[in-house]
Amino acid sequence: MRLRSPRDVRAPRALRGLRPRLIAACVAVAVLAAATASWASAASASNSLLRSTQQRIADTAARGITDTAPALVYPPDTGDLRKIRDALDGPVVVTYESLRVQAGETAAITEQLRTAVHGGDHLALQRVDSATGMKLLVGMPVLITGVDGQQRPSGIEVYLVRDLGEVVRQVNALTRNAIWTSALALPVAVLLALLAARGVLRPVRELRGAARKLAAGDLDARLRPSGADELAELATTFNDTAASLQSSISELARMEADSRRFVADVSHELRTPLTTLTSVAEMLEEDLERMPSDARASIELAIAETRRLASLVEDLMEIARFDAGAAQPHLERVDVPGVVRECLRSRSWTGQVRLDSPEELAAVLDRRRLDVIVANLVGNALRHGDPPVVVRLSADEQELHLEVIDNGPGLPEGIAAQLFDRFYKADSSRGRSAGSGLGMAITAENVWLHGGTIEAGNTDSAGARFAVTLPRWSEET
Amino acid sequence: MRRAASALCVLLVVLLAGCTVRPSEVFDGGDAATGVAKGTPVYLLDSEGDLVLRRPTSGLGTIGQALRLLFTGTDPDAGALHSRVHLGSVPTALDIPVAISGDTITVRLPIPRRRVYGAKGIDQIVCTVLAVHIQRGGSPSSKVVLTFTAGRPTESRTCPVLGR
Repeated sequence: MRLRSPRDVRAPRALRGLRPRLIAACVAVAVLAAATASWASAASASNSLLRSTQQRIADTAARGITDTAPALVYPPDTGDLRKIRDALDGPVVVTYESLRVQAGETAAITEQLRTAVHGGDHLALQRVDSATGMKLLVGMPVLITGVDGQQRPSGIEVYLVRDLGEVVRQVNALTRNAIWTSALALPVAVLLALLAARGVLRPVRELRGAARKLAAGDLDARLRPSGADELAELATTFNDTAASLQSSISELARMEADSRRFVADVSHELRTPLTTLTSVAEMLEEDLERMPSDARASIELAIAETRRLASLVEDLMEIARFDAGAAQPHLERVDVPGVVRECLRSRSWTGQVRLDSPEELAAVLDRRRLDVIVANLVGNALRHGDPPVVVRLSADEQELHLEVIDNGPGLPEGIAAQLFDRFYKADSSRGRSAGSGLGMAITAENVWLHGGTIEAGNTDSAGARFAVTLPRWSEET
Repeated sequence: MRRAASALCVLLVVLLAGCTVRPSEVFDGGDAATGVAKGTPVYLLDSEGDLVLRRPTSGLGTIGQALRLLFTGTDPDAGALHSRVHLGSVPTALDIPVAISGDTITVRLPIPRRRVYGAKGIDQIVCTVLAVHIQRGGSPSSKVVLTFTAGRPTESRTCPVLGR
């Protein structure tokens, strides 16, 4: 199952786990939310602070002038302009046509502001950054209001420069507070994220554990679904899957056991009549010379098939014993080359097989099963390969190595794995051969019974090679 | 993930950078100052009895100053114009309290009502008060109430030549 998209592969290694990602996401969201909230409140507070300060400055100036103006002579002279100047604290410029009165440092006043005030009928404000800090410029035309309420510029213009340093300090303090608030959210967010991650990831961990147990063959592995969330649903689904798998597997196992028992029973039932048949066949064989020649061929065929049947039943019963777990090795100290020589001699293969072995090689093995292994492998080599067939024995302290090599065409590509299956035949066109189809399976079972391994392959010179490794000193029982 | 993290950082920086005072363009700051005028408005009557605006001084002044001008009749160029509130020997140093509450201007005249001759005289006072009030930036829809040292006060009045 692939849970990660290819994009995520680029994520830093530390963030690839579900847990760090969950925590990182939670923390990011919390910090962002805290930062946004504190920014919003700081920005709003700063804005209203700035606006109210600006408005207060503008209103104070307008009121000051409005209170002074009725006392002025119009058109004004320098003395009248001075009255306005004196009514306003701080840096100020008062102009009327070519007249001009000023006080304080007013260099910050911009041309932009003058343009806005000329001919205008409203207060004009502008913030500028001067060498001595942030300033608010106030530009104000003084209007003449007619008795009918109509207003027109009087030509008197007042410009003020006011310091915003205090507001800037307060706004900066608000911003610092916002940053601290956001920073304080970080540890809290981490803590909450850890708690949340634990709650979310515990069921995931349990699921992983149960899935591993199931994969390892423990079909009883189940989860306890708690709650009613998606993870509980997942746990229930997992349990259903495991239960379904378990029932399928036990059904299969039961069917396989049934079929094996059936084969064992059938073989057992066949053995008694076959023994009789074999005895009869042997008696007939002795009288074969006296038979008419046309009957002789049929009888020879009947005898051969009876022997084949008997051998097949013997093999089936042997396999059934392995399946039932009834097969036990009878371990004894044996002279391995001696057993191999006896095996070859008893089957009259001595002339066709070369034994490549040390003079003496002792091991603790089941003598009969070793004989079966050698006989099956050599018989197979003689049947399917070409002579010379070589049996090579070697050993170290721990293991005994038995190799059977023929000089034939070798094993076809890809069959080595199936070679030890029951009733496997390398050449499917060869429907009925001399063998039962169980020989290699029985050989492998015998090797495994000793705790050994068997491999099939080809030699460099293209012949087939079977290599058996057996523990040399099996524990005697 | 890395892209999201850098986007987050940029957003935080932008948010925090937004919280500071920056220079601005010129923006509107509300109503300008007013209150200059070519003289104190005083209403006199012509031979027909119509209200005529006179400006005997060179500055706007206050409601009180305008009323004193009206009462004392110190207008060298009045010519044929006359006043029905000319008080002659009434001292000009008298204080005239003026209370402005919302759209109502209450003037407490330091004279008895009988010294004001008829509705024309009341109109003269009301128009003079309103003219000063408007020229000082007051609302043109304001009304005037006059009280006297003797006699009933007037109701809320507007000026027949000024009202809106």
